[in-house]
Amino acid sequence: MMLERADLKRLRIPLALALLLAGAGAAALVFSEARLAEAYQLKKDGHARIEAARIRLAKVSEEELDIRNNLAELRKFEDRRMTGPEKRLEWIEAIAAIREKRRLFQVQYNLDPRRGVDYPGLAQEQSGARAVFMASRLKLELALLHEEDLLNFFSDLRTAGESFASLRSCSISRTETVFSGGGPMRPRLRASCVVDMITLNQEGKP
Amino acid sequence: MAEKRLLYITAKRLQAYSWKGGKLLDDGAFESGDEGVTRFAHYLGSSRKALYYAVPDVTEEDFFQENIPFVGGKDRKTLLGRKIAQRYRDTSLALAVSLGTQEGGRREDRILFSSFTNTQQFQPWLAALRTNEAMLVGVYSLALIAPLVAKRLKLTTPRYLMVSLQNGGMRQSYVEDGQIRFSRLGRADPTDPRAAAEACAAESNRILQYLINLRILPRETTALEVVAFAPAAHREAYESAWGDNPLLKLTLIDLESACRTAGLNSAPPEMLGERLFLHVLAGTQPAVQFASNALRRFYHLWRARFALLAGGTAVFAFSLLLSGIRLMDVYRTNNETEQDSKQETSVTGEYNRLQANFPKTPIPREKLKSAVGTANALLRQTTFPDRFFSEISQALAAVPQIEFDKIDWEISDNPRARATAEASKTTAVAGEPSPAAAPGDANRYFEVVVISAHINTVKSSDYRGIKAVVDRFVQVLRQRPGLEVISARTPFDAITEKAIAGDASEQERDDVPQFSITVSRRIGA
Repeated sequence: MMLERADLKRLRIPLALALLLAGAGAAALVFSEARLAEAYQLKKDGHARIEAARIRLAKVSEEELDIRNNLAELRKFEDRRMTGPEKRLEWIEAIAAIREKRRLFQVQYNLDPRRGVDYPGLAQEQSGARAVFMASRLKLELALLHEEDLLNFFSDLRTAGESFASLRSCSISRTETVFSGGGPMRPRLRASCVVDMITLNQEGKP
Repeated sequence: MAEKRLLYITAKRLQAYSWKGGKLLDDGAFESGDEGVTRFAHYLGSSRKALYYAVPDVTEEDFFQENIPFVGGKDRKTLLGRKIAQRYRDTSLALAVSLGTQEGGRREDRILFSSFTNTQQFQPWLAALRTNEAMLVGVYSLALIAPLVAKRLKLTTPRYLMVSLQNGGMRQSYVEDGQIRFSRLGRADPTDPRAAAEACAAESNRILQYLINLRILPRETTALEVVAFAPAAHREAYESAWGDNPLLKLTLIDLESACRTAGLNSAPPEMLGERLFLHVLAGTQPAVQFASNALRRFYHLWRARFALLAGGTAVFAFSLLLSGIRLMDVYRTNNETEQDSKQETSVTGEYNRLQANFPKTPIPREKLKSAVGTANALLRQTTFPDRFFSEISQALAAVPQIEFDKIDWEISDNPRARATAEASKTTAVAGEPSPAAAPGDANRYFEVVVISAHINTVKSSDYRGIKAVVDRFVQVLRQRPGLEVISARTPFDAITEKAIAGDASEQERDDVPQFSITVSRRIGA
């Protein structure tokens, strides 16, 4: 052993200095490494952006064609009244008018608050505030003389409701048999139906 | 780098020199005795950061060669220590140098043991060095330095006797294969060239005989080269003193030229041959020396401090270098990123320019695309049951025994699941998994109708009659294009699925037989 234990005390300051220098060196390395990693990440992100921009530019004609096609499609949907606002009052009035016109025994309705259309097979973003199309669920209870009353009711609703109606379900049950005999006109069928009145989410408009 | 100080110690005094840039500077002479030692201690105190090289040049120096068994590690160290202790009374300044191994028979190490045999004369100097915590690099002798001098002067002779005249006397060192084998300090008068030359010739002859007697040199040998350092002016005196000696070949080297070749720029004028040796020592620092670790303690401490600081600085410098390289990489990468960014701006600008000519849309473009997709999907699953009901109505008309009780209509992407749910409801089978949609049903939607009906003209116990009517109805439904009968539940199905009990003799009941059928129709078909 060249050095004694007592000599180690004399080496405290050089040791501390050496550690300090090594620590400073390590800190410089860590700092430069972090900066380099950051620079590489920025470069990578930049590359990705420029690639995306180039692809976008290359597909600009395609995109324009898409927009034109989409606009044409949208016009078709406008013709089918899918892109209008919610018209609760008009719908209620239409139901009353149809009942009157078709001399239906009874039409009870229940109109739910509107929500995003969430049918199976629709895009994931069709929910919450981001939803493009909204559905106002109309639950109907009808007392009918025969099946045609129901079909006429829906036909009139589609015309007079000023909105796109999507029938989701309908349950028709017979209230009396054909052998019940004559007598005053009575409802023979009862129908419980669910119709969604489809409207466009106006929040998305520019 | 620390200042280097060389201490040339003779029997009478210690002469101190500083060595700077190839120059030897006289720091003073210290006579043996208390006063000299006290002055020397003051001298040591003048620079605590200097490195000291002690070079005693005394007659009491012993050289002895012995072969020892070839061992390594700790055993070797112990063995060498024991050998030194056996040979020398005072082992404080002793060393053992390996001259190589001797093969043949048992493998042995040839060791040269050397020591100052009377250390008392310079112990006061060493004590002063220790007391003043001077950084003593080592204690050397001119004999140890001789091979280094030859190397510095590029002497290629394999064996030679190096003769030089110092203030301490005339030193003769025999070197073989670059290693000292024997050395001796003799008397000579440096002020009389002729006497010095004669002493050189006589002492060289004597040493040759001594080496032959000790069998260090073989008896039949070629002439031994004697490399003598002397001023050029003394050449004639040496050559005439030498005469015609067949056993010794004189190679006289001018001391001044040798000093210049070795890189010594200047030295105090009173220095003789020792200037060359001290200069070579300061520039080379041989690994072999006499001092113990205890004497060199403060030198070791200095080395440890130096190593720590040098290590730390090296790590710091290396890290800074690496960091610098990386930061240059960062700079280069950032420049490239900036270039990319400019390109991106240019491409985006071009895109925006073209995009400005796009048709205006009532809602944002992304939303428009989504709206079109959603609307199409919505249309694919929207229909009214007019046609389906009409088909069912015609089928019912074809089988007048049947009168429906209830029709449940809905839109589904998996009509089979709907049928299973209906069956579960009637048979109360819980936990049965819904069947998967049929292949090709993905993105297809169906109108599904569950018809619950009764049969008017058949008794409920007439399972065959019920089955026949229902089968007829199913057949009629299947004949309608686009309709698919997914399931039919009759009372006959119920008796095949669960235990039944009854009384055959019992009067026939008036119950109306009921059944249900699930029919689907693909939207758009």
